[in-house]
Amino acid sequence: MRRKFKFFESTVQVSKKLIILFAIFMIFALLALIKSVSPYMTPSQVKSLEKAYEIKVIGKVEDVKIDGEKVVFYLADEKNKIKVVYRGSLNAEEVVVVGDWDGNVFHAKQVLTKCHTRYGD
Amino acid sequence: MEVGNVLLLLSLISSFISTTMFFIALKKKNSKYAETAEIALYFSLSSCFASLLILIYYFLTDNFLIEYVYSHSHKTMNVLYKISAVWAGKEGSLLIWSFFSLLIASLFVSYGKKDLEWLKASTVLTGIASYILLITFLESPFHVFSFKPSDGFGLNPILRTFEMILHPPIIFLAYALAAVPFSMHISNLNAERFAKMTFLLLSLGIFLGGFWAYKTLGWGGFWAWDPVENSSLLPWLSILAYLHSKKARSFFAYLTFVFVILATYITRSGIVQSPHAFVGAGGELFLLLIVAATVLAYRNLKTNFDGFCYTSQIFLAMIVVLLMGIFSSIFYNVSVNYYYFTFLPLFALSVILILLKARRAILIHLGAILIFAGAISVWGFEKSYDLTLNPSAKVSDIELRFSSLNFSEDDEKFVVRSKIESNLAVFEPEIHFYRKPEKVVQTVNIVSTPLFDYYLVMEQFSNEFVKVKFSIIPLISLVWLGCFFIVLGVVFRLLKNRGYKFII
Repeated sequence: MRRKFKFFESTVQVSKKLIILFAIFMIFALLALIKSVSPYMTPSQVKSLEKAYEIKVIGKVEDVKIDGEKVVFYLADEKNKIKVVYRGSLNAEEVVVVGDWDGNVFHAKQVLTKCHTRYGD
Repeated sequence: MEVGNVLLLLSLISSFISTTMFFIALKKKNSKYAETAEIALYFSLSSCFASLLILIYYFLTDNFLIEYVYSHSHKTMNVLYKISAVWAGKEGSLLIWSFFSLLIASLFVSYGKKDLEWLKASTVLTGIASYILLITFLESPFHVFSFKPSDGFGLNPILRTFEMILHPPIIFLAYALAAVPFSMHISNLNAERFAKMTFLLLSLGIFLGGFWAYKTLGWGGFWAWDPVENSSLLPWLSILAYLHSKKARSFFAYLTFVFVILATYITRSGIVQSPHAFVGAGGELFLLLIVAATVLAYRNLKTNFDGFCYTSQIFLAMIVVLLMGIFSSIFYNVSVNYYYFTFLPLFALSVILILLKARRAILIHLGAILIFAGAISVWGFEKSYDLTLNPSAKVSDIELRFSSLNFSEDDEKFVVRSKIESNLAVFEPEIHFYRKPEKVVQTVNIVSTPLFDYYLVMEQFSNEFVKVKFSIIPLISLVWLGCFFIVLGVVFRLLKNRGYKFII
């Protein structure tokens, strides 16, 4: 079974089987995409940026140090970690930080804590 | 007006005259107009080249009155990097793209057969070049400060590598070449050789970029599935589909050109967060070019083709998968898993088809298989460890021992080098503290063996201990070998067309 399409003033014939296969694959791809998107970036992605403003980054908190009224810590994923400076207190293992990245340090304006129960507290 | 701008304007005006004259010659079927057009085109090329030389001269003479020079250079930078800084930014890279477009158009015009088909292709090609030149003029690199800063801001340190001197010019030469198959198919000409050349340069540019990313920390290995990297794959895949198809070529020539422009738009408009993204406006002019190309294609591509073969279908599926990922990343963060679940199966399928069916271009196909094998091995089996060497640590049978720290200084930076001994080799990772611009860069120290790459980065240091990231990367060498085979294979096939004989 061949089907005809009008395209660029020319006739395109594509076999029906191929079209069906293509469509099934695209539905699969769409589902994979929906599963893979999130509004948060990872420290590895941030590290590769030169500068970024108003971004949300998710990661695990490491090496917390208190410096006056500032908290300095590292936000890590499996591969990389970034240095975060935040004015305020911090009391969680996994957080989302919101703020600006200057290429070396992330300046957090806000630190969002994820729900504790999910991590078996 | 700044002299560089005057030259750009002259170049722009004469390229417009050239396009118009070509068009009149085409309509009136009169070669006299074409001669004028040709001369105008050469004049445009010369003045564009002159403005490029002036920009290089400004960089070499540290003319920080020019904003573009100020933002991408400083006094004590190495001369080679001062030259490469010409195309390190948005405006300068547009200028070399214009220059290459005019150069390719001029070569095409002067070596052509000078019949009506040739005239039509020349008109389109010159038109495209002059449009890119228009965008360059609007976003000119010759913007002048009202005062002269004493020193420049400096080039981003991670761009100060050998690969980054070559990567942008190669990519933009490829982009300029991609307009040729499109223009030729508009007038029903066979553009196979130009398509092969476009493919060669695109491959070379992408491979160089991957190699650079691998050697520079934090960019996620040789391929990070970053939206800008992915958009550079779009024209590469469509020119590949072009070379694999017989009857749908005009469509893929059109698609390649559109994807070149789209990739530029995505990079420049800053709509996605990416290491490549330049911040700034002006991207919309590129979208207009896509619309114009589509109208032109719709009215002129008349070739009858009776089907996409299954190879083109796979390339098309890859393209759609990438497009979906790229557009989603405007609003969301797309995890690399998406590409692992969608792109890699298609890549695997194409490798199976190569093994079953490929009888031509063996070297290139072998290269593709090697890249696949290497990529799977790296993405599936790479191991990373965060280690504190106080003074030593052991990973499987490798013992790393921190031995000493060494401090030095040169014109650009302050360098901390640590010496780490192991039973494999001595690692000497460094942390560079650049002064202009102030930036800390951790250099990667890689010890390569045929089977494994040992990749070491120093994260923190003190007199007693160092913190390092240590990775064992299996079979990355296959990726580089595959890239090399593809480039060599395309060169062989280009030479074959000229009568040279090769067994592969």
